[in-house]
Amino acid sequence: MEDSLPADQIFPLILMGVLIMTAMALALIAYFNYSRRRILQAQQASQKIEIKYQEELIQNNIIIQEKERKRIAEDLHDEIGSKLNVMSLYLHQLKKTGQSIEKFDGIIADMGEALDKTISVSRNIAHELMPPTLDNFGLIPAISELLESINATGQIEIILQNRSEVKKLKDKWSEINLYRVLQEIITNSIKYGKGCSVKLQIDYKDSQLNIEYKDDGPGYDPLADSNKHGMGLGNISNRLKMINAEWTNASKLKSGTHYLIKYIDQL
Amino acid sequence: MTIVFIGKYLSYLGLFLMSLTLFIILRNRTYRIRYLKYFCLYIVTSFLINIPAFIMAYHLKNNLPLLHIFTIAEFVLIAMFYVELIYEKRVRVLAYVIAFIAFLMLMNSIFIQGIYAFNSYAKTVSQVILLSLSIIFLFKSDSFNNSGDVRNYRYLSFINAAFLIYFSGSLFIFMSSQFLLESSSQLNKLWLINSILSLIFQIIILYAVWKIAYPRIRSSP
Repeated sequence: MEDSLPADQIFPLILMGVLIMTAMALALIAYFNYSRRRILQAQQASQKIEIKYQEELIQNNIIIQEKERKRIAEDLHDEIGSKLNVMSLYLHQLKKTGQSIEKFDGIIADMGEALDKTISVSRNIAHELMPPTLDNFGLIPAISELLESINATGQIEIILQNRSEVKKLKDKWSEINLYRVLQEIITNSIKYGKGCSVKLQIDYKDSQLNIEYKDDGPGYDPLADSNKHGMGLGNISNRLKMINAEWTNASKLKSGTHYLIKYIDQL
Repeated sequence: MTIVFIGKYLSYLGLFLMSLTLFIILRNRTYRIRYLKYFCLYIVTSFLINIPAFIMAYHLKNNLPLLHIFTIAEFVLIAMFYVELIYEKRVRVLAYVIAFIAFLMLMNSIFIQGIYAFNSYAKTVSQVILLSLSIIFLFKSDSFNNSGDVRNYRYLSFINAAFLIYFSGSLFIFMSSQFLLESSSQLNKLWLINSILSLIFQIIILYAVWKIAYPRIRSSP
């Protein structure tokens, strides 16, 4: 024992050891905490990029979809529609000749009827795909026309309060998207809130368009998982995001659907 | 005298915090959570051994036999806790290794150092192994973080940090306490440092267990 250090000399050494070990432990924890945070940040950044990429993909799909709709509507109107009209004219001319062959009279009458129906259906499809009112007169008249046609079906009653100073927005692309959003919202009201009534308020002041949509249907919880991931709401959200419009979903279960859309009208 | 006094009350405070942790564990059945079974058993064992140890110390009786039991129980339970965390399942071979080391510790207590002496060998071996497991968990933590237990992972890392700080700090204390047995004043200083480390350990453990038992539920927008 003579060779060993006395207790008062050993104690500072032990204390130093304790301090060094504790400091090393703290440094190790801090280092791992820091590196883990960096990994998490990198993961979050890559997730953000992935979400942005997905959004762009969906938005591109919407753009392509709209282009296709327009092309099909034009083809229907210009190619098929006009040719059907020509066929209808020929049929009328055939009737006018007065050379009636009794056994063909019935067939010709049926053909005329079928042709008229086909012309009407193709016109409706073309209108639905790309309403000419939207293209020619702007968003507000197109909405009025849409509401009139829906009210005429008697499935739902929509009251429009239009306080807009303008009929047409500056950007056509925004008009198409706002129109599609309203179409989607109304379709949902018809689907889920059968027989309910809807109040649609449109205000346009100082280049700001405000749309308020409220129905007295069963409503829903926008935070519920089944609704958060639904195609309809996702589509609405993507279209509005694309045109930089803000939207608030104030819908509540058993309190009806309630949406507020704000859009700054600029090119 | 002052050092003894402070050390004693810090130990009481540590015991109080440990009883709070135990209360939360039992009240919320935290032991049912995956990975926490052995940890909770460790808290229960610590409490059950510390209570008689404190009573014996109060009556100035040698409570070192309890330290021998505690060292073995602590080693087995914490090592099993880490094995489950690191391997995410029970590994039979490692369980045998742990049991063998525990047996060696028992032999040390009976035949080498004796149950009325300080078990510095067993304590040092135990702390070095547990410290290593704690560091391995740190390295493994990234893969654990990516699994489904992200919420509890944060608080498991707090438990790990508590073990890491306590074992690394107290390693030198238990390793060298043998040399200071003759000087009670130096030994008291050493126990004061151990009490401080133990208190820090108990605070972090209580915080982690509290957070696991009462998670703050965030509502999604």
